[in-house]
Amino acid sequence: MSGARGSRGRFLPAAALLVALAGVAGASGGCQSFAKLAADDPTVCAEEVQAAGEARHEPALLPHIRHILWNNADYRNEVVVAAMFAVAHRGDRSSVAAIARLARTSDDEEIRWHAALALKQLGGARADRARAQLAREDASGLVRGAARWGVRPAR
Amino acid sequence: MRRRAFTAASFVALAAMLLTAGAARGDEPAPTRAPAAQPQPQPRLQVQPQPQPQPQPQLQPNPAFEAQAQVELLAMRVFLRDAVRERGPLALAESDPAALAARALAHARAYAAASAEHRDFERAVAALIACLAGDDDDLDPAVEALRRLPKALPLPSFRVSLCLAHAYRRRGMLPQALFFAEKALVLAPQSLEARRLKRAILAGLEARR
Repeated sequence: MSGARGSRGRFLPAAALLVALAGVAGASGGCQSFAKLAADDPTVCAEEVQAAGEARHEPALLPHIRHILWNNADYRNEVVVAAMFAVAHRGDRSSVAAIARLARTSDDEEIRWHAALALKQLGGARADRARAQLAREDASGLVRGAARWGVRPAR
Repeated sequence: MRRRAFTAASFVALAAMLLTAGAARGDEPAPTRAPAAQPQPQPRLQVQPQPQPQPQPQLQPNPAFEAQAQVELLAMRVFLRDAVRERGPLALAESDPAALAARALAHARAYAAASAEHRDFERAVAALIACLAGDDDDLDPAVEALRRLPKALPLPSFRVSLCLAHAYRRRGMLPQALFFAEKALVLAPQSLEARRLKRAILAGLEARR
């Protein structure tokens, strides 16, 4: 009897600790950290999108990252940049059309520069055509250079 | 009687043993350091005086960070002025230095935002530098204000670009930092600061792959 009481006495704090740990894990879990991205929330922060690009085990997030590219006007520029970086990092060639559109239509030099880099990284005929057009026609020398050579190492 | 004799003999033996041990210990030479620690004749090359470290040649002064101290002072001065107005000089003397610094940084952030609104780019840049120098984690308002400046300015600015590159790097947003470092480098190709920054950003991006 006393043995049973002793084991129960040991079991209860351990169970409480497990419940507490599970609560902490749930509160800081991967799914919750991508909540805004998964909800296509325009207030999503760039860090969240960038982390989604690095989280290769979360393929379900890719459509939401592409959503940012197609609806760039609703998002801050740094979020759009993070989205381009994310799809390029994942090698997601189905994003080429969205990036090519940004390269053609964005009036922001930073967006077009990152579009050039993403197109170079993703590769393929369509990406190369869009990149060649940027290299020929873009108003910014910075963007034309990125479309031709990518990022050159700092000397 | 027998036991007492035994005890006395044991005592004498023990005392003799202790004395012997003490004498033996006293005869031992003083503990010496390991031979490696003893001064050895040094080869000529090692005896020669080491060359004094030379200061790194600066190809170009760091213009973006020259105003740092001024802005910190400015932010602190405005904070002090406000604090004196609000609470009087005696209350100010009791303030916590960490709290003072935090308030000064809050002022710097507010300067960045307000200055960017008025397109006062020197002040906005300097305020962001103060935020960076003050290890301010809440860079977002200053960066958000400042990143609109290059588009508003008639000419692109090396200082703004370099500051934004630093700020984005601090926030761990390396792709964004890379663009502004590249832009700064295009505007000032000889800038050592911009080159170093770009190298560090590229290394950080490489490490993430």
